[in-house]
Amino acid sequence: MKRMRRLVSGAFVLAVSVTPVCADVLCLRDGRIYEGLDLQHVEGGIELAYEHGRVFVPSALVLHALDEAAAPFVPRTPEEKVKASQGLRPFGDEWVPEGRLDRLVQDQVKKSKAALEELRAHQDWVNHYSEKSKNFNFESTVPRHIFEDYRNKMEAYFQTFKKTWKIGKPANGKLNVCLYSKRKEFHRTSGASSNTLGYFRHVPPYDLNIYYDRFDPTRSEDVMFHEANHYLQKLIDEDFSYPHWPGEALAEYYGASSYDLETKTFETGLVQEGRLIQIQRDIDSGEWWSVEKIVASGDDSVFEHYTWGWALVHYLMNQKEHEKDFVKFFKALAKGKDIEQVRGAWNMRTVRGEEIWRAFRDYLGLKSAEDVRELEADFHRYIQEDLTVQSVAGIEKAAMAAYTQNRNLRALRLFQEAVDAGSTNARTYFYYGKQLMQEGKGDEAIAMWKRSIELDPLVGETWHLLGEATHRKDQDEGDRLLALAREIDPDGDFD
Amino acid sequence: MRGLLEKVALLVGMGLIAVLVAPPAGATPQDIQNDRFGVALKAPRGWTEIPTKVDEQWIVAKYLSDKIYRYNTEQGWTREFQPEMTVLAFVKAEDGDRGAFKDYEDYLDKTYRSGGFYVSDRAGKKAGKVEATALEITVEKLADAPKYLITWVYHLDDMDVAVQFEVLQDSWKKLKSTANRSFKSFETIERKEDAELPDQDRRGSWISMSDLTSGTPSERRKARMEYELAHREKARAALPDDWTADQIGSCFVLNHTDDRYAKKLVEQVEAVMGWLDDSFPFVGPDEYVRQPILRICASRDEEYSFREGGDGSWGTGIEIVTCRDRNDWTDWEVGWVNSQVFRLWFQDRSFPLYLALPSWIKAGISEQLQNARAKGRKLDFRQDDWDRDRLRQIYREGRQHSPRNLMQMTQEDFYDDWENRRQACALVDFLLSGKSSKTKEVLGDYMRNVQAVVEEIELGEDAESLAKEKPKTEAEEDALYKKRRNLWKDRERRVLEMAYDRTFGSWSDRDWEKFEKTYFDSID
Repeated sequence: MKRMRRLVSGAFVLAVSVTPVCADVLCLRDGRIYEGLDLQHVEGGIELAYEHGRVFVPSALVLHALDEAAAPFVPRTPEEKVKASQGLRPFGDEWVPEGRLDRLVQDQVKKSKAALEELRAHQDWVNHYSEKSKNFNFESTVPRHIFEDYRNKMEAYFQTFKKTWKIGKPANGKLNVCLYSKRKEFHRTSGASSNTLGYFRHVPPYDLNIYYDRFDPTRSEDVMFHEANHYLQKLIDEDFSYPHWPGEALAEYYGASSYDLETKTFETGLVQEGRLIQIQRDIDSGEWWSVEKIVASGDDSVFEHYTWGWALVHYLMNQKEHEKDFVKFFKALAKGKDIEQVRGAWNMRTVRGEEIWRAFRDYLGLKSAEDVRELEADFHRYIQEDLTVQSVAGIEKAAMAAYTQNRNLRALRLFQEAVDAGSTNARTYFYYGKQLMQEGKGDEAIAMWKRSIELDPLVGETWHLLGEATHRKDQDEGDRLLALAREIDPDGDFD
Repeated sequence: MRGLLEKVALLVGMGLIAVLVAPPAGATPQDIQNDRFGVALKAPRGWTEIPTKVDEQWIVAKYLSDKIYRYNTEQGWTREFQPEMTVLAFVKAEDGDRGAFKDYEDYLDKTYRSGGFYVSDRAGKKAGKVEATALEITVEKLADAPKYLITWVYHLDDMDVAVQFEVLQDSWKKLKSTANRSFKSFETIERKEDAELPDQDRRGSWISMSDLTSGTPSERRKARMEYELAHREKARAALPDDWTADQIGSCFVLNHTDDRYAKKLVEQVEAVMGWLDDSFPFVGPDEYVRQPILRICASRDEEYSFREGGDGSWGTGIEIVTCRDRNDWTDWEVGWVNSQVFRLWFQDRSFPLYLALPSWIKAGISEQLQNARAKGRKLDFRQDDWDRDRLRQIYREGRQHSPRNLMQMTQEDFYDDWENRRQACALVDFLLSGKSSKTKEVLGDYMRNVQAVVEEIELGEDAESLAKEKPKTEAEEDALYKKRRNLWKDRERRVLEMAYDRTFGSWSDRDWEKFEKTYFDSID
């Protein structure tokens, strides 16, 4: 087996000939840390030796891999033999004199250990990172490189929203943004309920709490942009509480934003594919929401404000003839002298449903019932023709929705579409495998779980399902895989 | 003199002896001595013991501080808080498993609802020979006030015992010595020989409604009476010493207030039961209604403390928990008791009907009972002035629903507007009053029709049969999905439509106009 010592796209792979105590440590890019394992460097990544088998982890997933009990360098190729005869040894992409090697390696071991210690030390909330940026205060337990991306995205988001909505500085201090790396810690520390992935505390001290889901970082980002939007809406008028519609709908609109870290551009107005799928489900059930129903129910906590309500905002913000009017309408709800406001929860000013509807018609220039019908017809057409699920992520979401709704045939088709479109989401293959198993297609399910493992090798549950399926044909191999699953995730609840 | 001297000598002798055999200073008897779990410790002085719930499996003891502490929020509000001490046990099963909660921190993760928290400090400790872990847990986000949970978790061979103090952060310094006294007094004692440790395998060891509603009426009667008896015994066994447990009239009363108040509440319960018996005699006439257990806490804070934490069980609701509130909320408490009696009576008389009752009736009767007070054995229905004024305003603004409309509203539509409850209450009140000769029997007829429809509706396409269908194409699957998704809504609509048609099918528009005029006039 060829020993590789090289820096691989941000991952530091290090092998050292020191006292052979198994203190190997693997740290993945998503923040997971594995210790006390026997790891070896192989072509393309790291191999972990468990009692019940070896697991390959691709380099792309690795942040740090510290192998303290590596075997001494043995030259194999002619080039390596020449270098070795010159008294040189490989270190990263270089060849260095043997005398210097130990010192270089010791320095790197020290740095690597320090980096790992730093990561471990900040994984519990009591020792979270704290950092201030121009417009936010951050507290976080996510790995540094992930945190920095989120910080940059939030700052870009603030500037983009400020440009369109002309918001001012907060009177009650910067928003506290809290990012959590573990789900249990998120629910425990933030007090959020089990079905919440993030929330914004809308009275001072303002507080935003977001769970960074390594299985679905796009969704975490969506939630962060959505919840942060409630804060940005607050900066229009801090004494005003936006009604459910258009407040939640605008938050959904901005939830589907994207920041390109390389070009540093922030793009808004993307399609909330998950919400679009829910709308399509309503339409399949024969339910259509009218514009009046969406807007006039604005003061109620109606779920459809996140779906149909979002679609209406998306439609209005993407139509040249409506965008400026909608922005004026939105700001007028808080600041307009012609708006009848009332005092609501927390004694904050807000607007009732009927008045929202009146103002909406007024600002959008809908003078008659015919105008409303025309707008509605175009809005419904927009949903059916202009909003489509296009991205792989969108197809995956549609597949998952079908899976959870027990629409098995639809789920099978959509999962296959996601695979054909080149999905690299381990969870997609995981659930596709489950769907196939349900249909009695064991061999195909096994293939999906194997692919899921290739993409994310250290999920005990996938190994467990693979073990159960394998057990039917090969008991010994099945038992081995089940035991391996337990080694990878000793606390996993697989039943 | 000699006799006196002899007496003195005797007394001195006794005193000496008393001194010689007196226990060493500080070794006073423990306040908490639990021979089931084999643990003992001191409770904070002057704190009130709170009873544990029937079927409680984790909470061993609970105490509430006698003192109220205050915290001022940034918004200028004042929060009051009474510190609590809770003792919990987490038993290891033979296979090493800990059941529903892995350990104390897992228990907090799954049951603590007073705010977000994190472990801010952790240290090894000892109480005598017992090893312990001392935790400082900070409660901050979404909390009413910043708090600490200061807990020592004692690690025994077959269980962990956690002694937890919940306090405001501001007041921890003042309470530290109180807490430490309890922590350091912890010891193990001999367990009762036949003591059975709880089966902590799952949360909520309740009996389901199906256990109490299946079989024949006499089988149900037997099951319900057995349940009543068992529940009473468990409740009595878990009571602190300063509570009483007595049969008063048709209620079993667990009381931490005065007898007079307890008797007044029992009178109230019996008046509501009597009214329900008289008003709806056709609902489950052969069914046995379980006698309620009235648990009367001394205060609202005591009631809250009782309700918090633990096994998460909701039971099948024969226990009505209330309190003697001295802050002018007594009226609300009585209204609450009335609504619980209504629920219990209907569930036991006919559970299917209770589930199927249209929203306007359920909410209407419930609202009616909020303001009903016992007058001897009868119920006197008072009208709330504020409610009446709100109703008048609704009608002035033209926002009222006609009775026809109200009676055909689905649950979703009904609860879309909270004001519908007021209107439903007015309608039920009108129908029960018998002001119109035509409508004297309407409510009874309507409910009989609902009952009949519920029994008749053949759920040929019920959820179970839909689940068995295997569509062959996506189009078939979509159609099935639509059916499944709308199943309960469709069923609800059918009940509403059929009950309405059967009750009012023969009414003409003129009949409705007359009825509605009389009805709306009665509100003014």
